Amino acid sequence: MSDAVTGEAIASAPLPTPRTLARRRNVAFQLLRFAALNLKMMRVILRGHG
Amino acid sequence: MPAGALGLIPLLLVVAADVWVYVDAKARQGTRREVSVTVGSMEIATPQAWLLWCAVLFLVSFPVYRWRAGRPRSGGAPPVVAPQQLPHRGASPWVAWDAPGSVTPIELKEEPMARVVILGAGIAGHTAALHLRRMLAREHEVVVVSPSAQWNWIPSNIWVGVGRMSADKVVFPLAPVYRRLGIDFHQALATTIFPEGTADDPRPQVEASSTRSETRGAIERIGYDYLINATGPKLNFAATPGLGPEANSLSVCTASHAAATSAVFADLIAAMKRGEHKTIVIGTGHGMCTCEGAAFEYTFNVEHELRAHGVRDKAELVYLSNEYDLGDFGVGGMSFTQMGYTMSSKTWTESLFRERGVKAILRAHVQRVEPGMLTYEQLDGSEHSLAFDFAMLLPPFRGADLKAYDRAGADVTDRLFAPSGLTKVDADYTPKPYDQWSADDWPTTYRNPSYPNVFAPGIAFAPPHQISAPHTSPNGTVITPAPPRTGMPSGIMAKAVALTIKDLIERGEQAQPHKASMAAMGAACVASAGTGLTRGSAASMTMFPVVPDWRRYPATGRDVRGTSGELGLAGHWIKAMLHYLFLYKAKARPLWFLIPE
Repeated sequence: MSDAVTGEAIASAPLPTPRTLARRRNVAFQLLRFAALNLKMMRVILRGHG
Repeated sequence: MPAGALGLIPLLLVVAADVWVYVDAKARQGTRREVSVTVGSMEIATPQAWLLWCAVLFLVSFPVYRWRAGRPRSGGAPPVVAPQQLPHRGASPWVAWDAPGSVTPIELKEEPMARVVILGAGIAGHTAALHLRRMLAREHEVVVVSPSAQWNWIPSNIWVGVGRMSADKVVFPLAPVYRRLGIDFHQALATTIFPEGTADDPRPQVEASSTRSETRGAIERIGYDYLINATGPKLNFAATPGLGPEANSLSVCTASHAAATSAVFADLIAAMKRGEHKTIVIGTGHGMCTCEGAAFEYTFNVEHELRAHGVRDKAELVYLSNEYDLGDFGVGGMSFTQMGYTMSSKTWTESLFRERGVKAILRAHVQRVEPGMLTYEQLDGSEHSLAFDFAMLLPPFRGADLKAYDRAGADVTDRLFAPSGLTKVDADYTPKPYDQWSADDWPTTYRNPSYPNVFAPGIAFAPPHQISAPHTSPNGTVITPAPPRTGMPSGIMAKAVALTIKDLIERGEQAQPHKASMAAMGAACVASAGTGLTRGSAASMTMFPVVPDWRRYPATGRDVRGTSGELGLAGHWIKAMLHYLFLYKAKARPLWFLIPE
């Protein structure tokens, strides 16, 4: 049901590997990413507020 | 309370005082009025130095206090100070109420030093009100005029719309918060601005119509020295025939819309559990919509719920948008580095659509919505129909329907507002082709050029042009996302405006305005893709700046170090954390101002 152009683009988009999908759900790994993302966002926030 | 807990109170007070000293020193540094003290060869000037010296002072004085506290008092009981009677601001005689359709001449009281009137209590208006009340001395008045009695944390409406959160978790009543802070709250819809005053009264003023059930329709006029128009968007469902919850599609734009949508969604899932196949369409209901991020979030939350209920195979899920490419989000897309490559948000988003099996129709302008059927035009001029069982389509935005008149009664609406109803500010509105668009076109102070005591942060300001490249179909239909100005940018703009007004009041008209251009500020956006403490996920995106600056960053328009995208459970935790943090902040709980916009 996608339009032809977008359907083709989606069909050829890269798929995440099972390992990537597992990493996105792994609580221990995501705790580290939580800390890293917060730091990254804080940096953008501090620049934005400047 | 146990004695140990009582002992913690002085410690908490010390920490709070230290934090306050640091924040105050930081704020003063920002206004170039830092307090500097020299002790011998040492200088206490920076916020860090003030924090350190304050901590040292407490460390030294606390043992002295403990020693003195253990000795008997010699001076008798301390004097008792009678509590000061605070004025009852809700009954201000500045405001004249009358029956619908008529206005009583304003009865003036002795003037306060300055009055700031804020129209709207969304993210921008509420942020400005809280900061102004915190920063201004009590003799100055802060007045909020908003038609809604409640504050809504709109990003969490997505979770209300799929039945994962009740509507009362995303709203709270404004009146008790404003009463506690000393902000004068008028539940009313602003309709007319008299920026030069009226024939009878030279004071600039706003006319508003009460939306309280007891006084509905009564007209009031409120004088102002500074006006912040933070009325946000008018949800323009009327732009597309048949669009909206009053007609043939659903919405999650307000908490009540989201709650109604959730009930329909629950029925849909029940039907699928009975074996019925359904077509779900989520997206934008007009070629010039904004907030594609909200449609994206709702799409993937619905997909997540379908899987959770075991009916994913019974649904065709279609994302229908005015974006030229997936991942545009109204900001022209993003580029960020991942695994040593520069990746576009287009590829990144297409990957998610493929992984979750979501179809997409792009470059689309919805022409009309009929029961169970919508018709749309695409950028190549072709027309299509799409049958649906469930359609959540966002409306385009326009400004609040405010009129403006000068002292003689002549209509000066076009001096304050663009044809879209959004407020004209210090942007460069000269029409120019896309290749001449510049970061410098974007406003920095959000001040109206004709009436410099009128400001418009957030969605209420008229942007100079889109951020995404403009496109028009052969039939002349503009199919381009409008630029998003919600959330974090709205809050930053509102705080900058509050700081400017504070300086103008305290230091006079020579005070330099604070600046917060979207072409010089970053934004963090967390787009939920499903909820759940261990099963949720979200796309966490940062960008710097929001409006690409091709002169400073010729490669991608943005700083690649400040622009990123990542999918995972951590994003959901951040989204959930932001929900509680921003509700805490909006309720002005202790130290709320330490939470950044």
